[in-house]
Amino acid sequence: MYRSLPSLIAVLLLGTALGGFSAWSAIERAKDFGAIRVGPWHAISYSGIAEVDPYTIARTVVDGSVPLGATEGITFDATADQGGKQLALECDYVVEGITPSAKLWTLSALDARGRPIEAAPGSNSGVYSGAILRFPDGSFRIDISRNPKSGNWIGVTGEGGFRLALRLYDTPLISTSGVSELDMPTLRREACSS
Amino acid sequence: MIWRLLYFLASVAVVAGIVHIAIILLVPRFGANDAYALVSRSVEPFEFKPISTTESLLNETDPFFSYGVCRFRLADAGLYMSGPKIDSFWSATLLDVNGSVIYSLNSRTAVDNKLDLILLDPVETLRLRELQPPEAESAIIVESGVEEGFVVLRVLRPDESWLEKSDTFLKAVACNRYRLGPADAENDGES
Repeated sequence: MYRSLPSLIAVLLLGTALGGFSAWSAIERAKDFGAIRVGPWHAISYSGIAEVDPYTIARTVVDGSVPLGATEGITFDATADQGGKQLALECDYVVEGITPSAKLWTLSALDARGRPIEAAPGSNSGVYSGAILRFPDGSFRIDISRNPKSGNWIGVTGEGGFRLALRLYDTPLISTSGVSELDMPTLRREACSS
Repeated sequence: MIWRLLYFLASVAVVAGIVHIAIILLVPRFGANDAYALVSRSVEPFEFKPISTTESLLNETDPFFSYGVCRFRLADAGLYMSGPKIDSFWSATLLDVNGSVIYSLNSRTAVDNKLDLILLDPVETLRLRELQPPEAESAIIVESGVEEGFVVLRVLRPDESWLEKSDTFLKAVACNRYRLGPADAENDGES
């Protein structure tokens, strides 16, 4: 037994602090557990299916998000480019390639709290698969920039970090297990203005 | 001395473990900012409310979709949710109070692209199978043991020109109590 009250108090204080910190950081990073990762894109494969681990539940409670159900679709997020650098509004980006098969998809630029970035004049801070220009082979190129671009342009404003959300609706992706063979578009950084 | 230190560290680890597990498991119960807490503040049970994008009732919404929310309380009554036919893509998710998905469907998995859904607890589901009311023939029947929850309905609205269509659809969506009658399969779901 402890011979003194101070050591008992120290145990309780240290334990509470350590437990609280580890719980907080686990919730913060719950999106990384069991996530599908393809290049810069990551998606929670379990949210939307009945057996969700307690960390993911805690996470959805903390950030108040509503996950897409399995028959609805899946959301892929990117916070960094292909090279691993954090996305910044000061830079131009190119999203190029094809997506896994889906009835439709949307790609939008969001701020840290999940709200759409304010769009540049004459543009939109997102694109919808039914309204984009494609190359003859079905692939596409989307430019994300603060300056006007020809073709598919996601016009953003402001500065600092942002996040891209690629939401695939009505996709067979979740029911099939071949997750490693996903055809996700690349996310390349171009010039940056300071 | 060294044993006392080890004993001290082991005690800290045990306390930390208990606190860690307790926090993870208690967050869903006491979290005040989760989607259901936000929804229940502004939506009454068995009421369907279209959400304008400026309102921050739901986080992480897709700007290309219009949303609507309906709350249910299975302890009171079943839920009968229906909507008119629309050719735009829509999808719906049934969630419990923790924001975990109970069931989800989209316009392609629904019968004839129409939203027509009955949510019941297991006992009522058995009664529904016995009674075979006419509305149960075309509706999707979902059985769930949860007491409360909400439904998030999304409908595609890629640009402003679709707004009228999606608004008309969301306004026509019904989210009502559904009770199976004692012998004849009357319900007040349509009222």
